[in-house]
Amino acid sequence: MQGAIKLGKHRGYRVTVAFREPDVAILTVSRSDAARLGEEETKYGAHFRGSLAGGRVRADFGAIGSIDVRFHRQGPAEKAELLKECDGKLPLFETGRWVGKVSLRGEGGYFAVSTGSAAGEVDRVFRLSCPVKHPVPLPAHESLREQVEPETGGSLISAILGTVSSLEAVSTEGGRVVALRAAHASGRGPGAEVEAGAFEYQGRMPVGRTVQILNAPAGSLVTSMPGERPATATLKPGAPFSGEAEYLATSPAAHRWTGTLTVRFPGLTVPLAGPSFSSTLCVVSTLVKPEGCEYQPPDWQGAEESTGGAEAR
Amino acid sequence: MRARRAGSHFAAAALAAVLAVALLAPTSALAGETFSFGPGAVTFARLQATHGYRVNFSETEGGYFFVRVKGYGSTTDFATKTGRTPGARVRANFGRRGRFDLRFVATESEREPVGSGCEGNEKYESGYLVGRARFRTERGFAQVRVHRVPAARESWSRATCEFSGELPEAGHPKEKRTTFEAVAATYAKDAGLFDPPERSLTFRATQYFRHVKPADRRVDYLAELQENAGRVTVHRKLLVAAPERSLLFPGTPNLPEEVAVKPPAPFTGSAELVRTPESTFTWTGDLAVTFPGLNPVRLAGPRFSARICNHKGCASRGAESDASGS
Repeated sequence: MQGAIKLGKHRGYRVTVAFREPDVAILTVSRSDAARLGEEETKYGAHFRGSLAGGRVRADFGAIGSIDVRFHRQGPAEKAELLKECDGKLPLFETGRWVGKVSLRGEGGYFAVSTGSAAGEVDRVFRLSCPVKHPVPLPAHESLREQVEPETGGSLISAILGTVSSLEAVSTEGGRVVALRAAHASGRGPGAEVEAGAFEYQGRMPVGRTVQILNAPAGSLVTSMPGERPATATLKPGAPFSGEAEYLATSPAAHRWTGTLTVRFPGLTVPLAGPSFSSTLCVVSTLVKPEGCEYQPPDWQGAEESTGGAEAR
Repeated sequence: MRARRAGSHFAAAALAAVLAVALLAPTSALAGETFSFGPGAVTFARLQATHGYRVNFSETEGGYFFVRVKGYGSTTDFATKTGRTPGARVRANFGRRGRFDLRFVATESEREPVGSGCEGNEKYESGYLVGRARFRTERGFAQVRVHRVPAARESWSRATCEFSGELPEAGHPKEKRTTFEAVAATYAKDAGLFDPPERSLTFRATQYFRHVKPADRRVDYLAELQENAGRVTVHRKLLVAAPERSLLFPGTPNLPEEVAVKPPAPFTGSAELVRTPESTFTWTGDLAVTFPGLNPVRLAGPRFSARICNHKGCASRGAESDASGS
């Protein structure tokens, strides 16, 4: 069973709260940029109290705020189809309004919602009995953290075409993980795909943030050629990133990742280069290594201990 | 006339059917499979045109009329749909290029099994096409005027063939060391996803392994221009062999995808595929080709997509914009 509250757009961000049984509530704040195939998103996770089946839910998102709402169905529930072979009660899709108290405000007020009523829905799924030849493996249970943690590591385009150059950097500092990936998919134009993710706990609340641009401007990622020494790369992707950073292999066994590059996630601006980051660069010729960068062993280096960190906006 | 049967039209049609069966059927199911073919017929003639070119033309049972002009390494195919079921008359209108209105008169006729692992009969008639026909290519590089020309008509009943599971191999991939292809295509404004381009221009260079071809003919250069817009489709093709030194790989060993070409006449100029620091490619240069009857056509530039492959993999770039292809 699952449900959602659609809180609309606030300061340019689309705000929704999704509920999943048994007790997961995820507040998602996002916006997209169609021209650059870009998406910015922050998810806040909480365990709700109450009962989704009973239509009464309370969730505390720490410093971001809380919700305390009851579902009022509007109109008849829509019944979904069952597979011919299955027995059981038909799944129901109910639309209506969540009424009560919603008070949410992002870090630095990048979004703010305060309302007593919002549109939403509830999907009710019941136990089904279906004959199968072989047992169907059920999807693994995802923890709250897993549902909030950003997934970086490549777009569908990269997965299909493979990448001919990729730059990755990761920092784990002060309990916050920040990851960056920029890549050129094989056969695509000069614009790179650039994505960054951050994950941390604010108190007991997991917070995951992602920024993804699948069509960054030409010149965003410039690298040395395959086999060229020293291996270099410069990344300057433009908004919501700012500044630039440089990868330089100072010797065949050492490299550094430095610069002023930062990213503005919804609610958080963090640096993406510096001594706290491990980094790796891959540049291949697909006529020499046809499987692309995905199958090359990474050369992670860097990540000195540091006290530098992020700045909430 | 019988000597001309080496390239039987039935055999060509049967081969096309075999390939279709092979592509549609699972590999394990191919051996011992049968497929039915026809009935069908084709009327064809070959003659000498002006300026040293040869022309052959044919009308098929599918209601298509083809004219092929061949010579000096070039092949130009003109095709139009007549929509007619062919009979004793052979008719087609190619507009300003010419028209055919001929009648087949048989002088000899022979029936025999279709052969090639097929059951069925075919009828081969030799004789003449008489009437009027004229055809003139662009700028008149080849012309024919016909009142009476030796011709043949081949017809076959419904044939059932057994598919042996073996496909003829046209240029085994293992013979090819490197292939490079650049294509510029123009689509109609309202073209659907699977519609063919109105015009496509292709340049292809194939480098063969040492054991396959001698050094002075180790690279094949091909230029193709396909025009599908309008009532008559035109397919122009030029193929020349060239020495290995005409195809260079300045980036080897780290960048084998970088290539520089300088093919011989009727190509002019040269072009280079170069990898940029943004991991894409530029395909630039003054490379051009002159198809018979046409002005030189550029074969490099941003409107071309390009792809280079060797035995390990491929590297490619997309076209930056649609263009006219001229």
